[in-house]
Amino acid sequence: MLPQDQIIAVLAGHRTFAGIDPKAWGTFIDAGAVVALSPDEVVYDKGQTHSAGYVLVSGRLEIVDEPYPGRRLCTQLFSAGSLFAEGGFIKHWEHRRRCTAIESSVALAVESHAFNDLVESGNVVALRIIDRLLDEFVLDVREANQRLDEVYARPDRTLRRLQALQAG
Amino acid sequence: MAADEKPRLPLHRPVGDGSSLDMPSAGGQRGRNDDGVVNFFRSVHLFNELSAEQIIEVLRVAHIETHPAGTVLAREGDAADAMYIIERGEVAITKASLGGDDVRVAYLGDGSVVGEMALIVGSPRTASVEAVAETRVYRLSGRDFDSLRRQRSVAAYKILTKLLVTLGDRRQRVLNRLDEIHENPADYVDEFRRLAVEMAEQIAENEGN
Repeated sequence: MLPQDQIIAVLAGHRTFAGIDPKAWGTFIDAGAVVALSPDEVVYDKGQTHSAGYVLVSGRLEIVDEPYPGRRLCTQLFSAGSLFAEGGFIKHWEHRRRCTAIESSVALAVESHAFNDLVESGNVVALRIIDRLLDEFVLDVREANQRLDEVYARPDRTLRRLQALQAG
Repeated sequence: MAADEKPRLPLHRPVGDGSSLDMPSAGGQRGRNDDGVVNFFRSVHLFNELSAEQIIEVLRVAHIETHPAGTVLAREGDAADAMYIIERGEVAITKASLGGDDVRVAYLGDGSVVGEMALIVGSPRTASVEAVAETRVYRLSGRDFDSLRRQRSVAAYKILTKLLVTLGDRRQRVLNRLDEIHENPADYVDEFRRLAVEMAEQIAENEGN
């Protein structure tokens, strides 16, 4: 497993975390757990419940989203400092995607109650994560609303899709 | 002050409408009224995990306003620049219908929070807010809240965490609705057939006109 100073050096390179005091990193890392992921290991799957938010330290992950039947979106994460299952820092929401390690990877996992304590103590890493999540969540809600609007704004197209799903 | 007495944080009621809450630095006196304000804020979902000191920190940048019935506090389409916490009174939330008429979609009273997304996004208001009775509100502007955020105020970040939960829950509800439609097509075919027919009729009518 990577020593803490090496983890800090790697994560500090991400733009979200630029200029953060190593002491704040030490507190953040101590509040979580460093997790080793094997190739093909499923980190979480659709329908499971978040128990933690993660920061990628090294390796490569694939996140698969199926917003509706027949549509599959794949994203790969490989940049140290990337967040995944990030809603888990805040609340235990149900996962809507599947995340798999596609090579040996290391991540930092922080449970929501520990994250909450970090916010309460003013930990800068946690506060920067909140800044990031706000931008992401606002976009996510807009995107979800747009998808719902499209379903109702084009009922003919939705009807064809539903009939195709019914047929098989 | 006795050595074993906790320092009391001062919180004075505002002098007049639109004024900042007058709260001198720690070491002053906090009266019964001030505790009442803190208790009121503790009853508001967005603030219920803040300590008394943290509530006071936020109140220092808030303004209190009293609006007579009929006052429009926020107008649909305008830039969202502030959040309102209703201390006393009632507001109506209205949205413009497709026909252009204002439709009242909700009434909110004591302890309700309106326009909280103004603290994180300055996008246009999605509804109008109008006082339907004399209404006393705490107004927290996005700009003042940003100043707290820039100072890395824990109080501000605890409020932001609550807003994240609101956003996440909202996203989850919408996505669950989409899943429900696509996972149970048989339950929705009739509804969308009817909507498609109505839309086609509306288009034909518009073209006829």
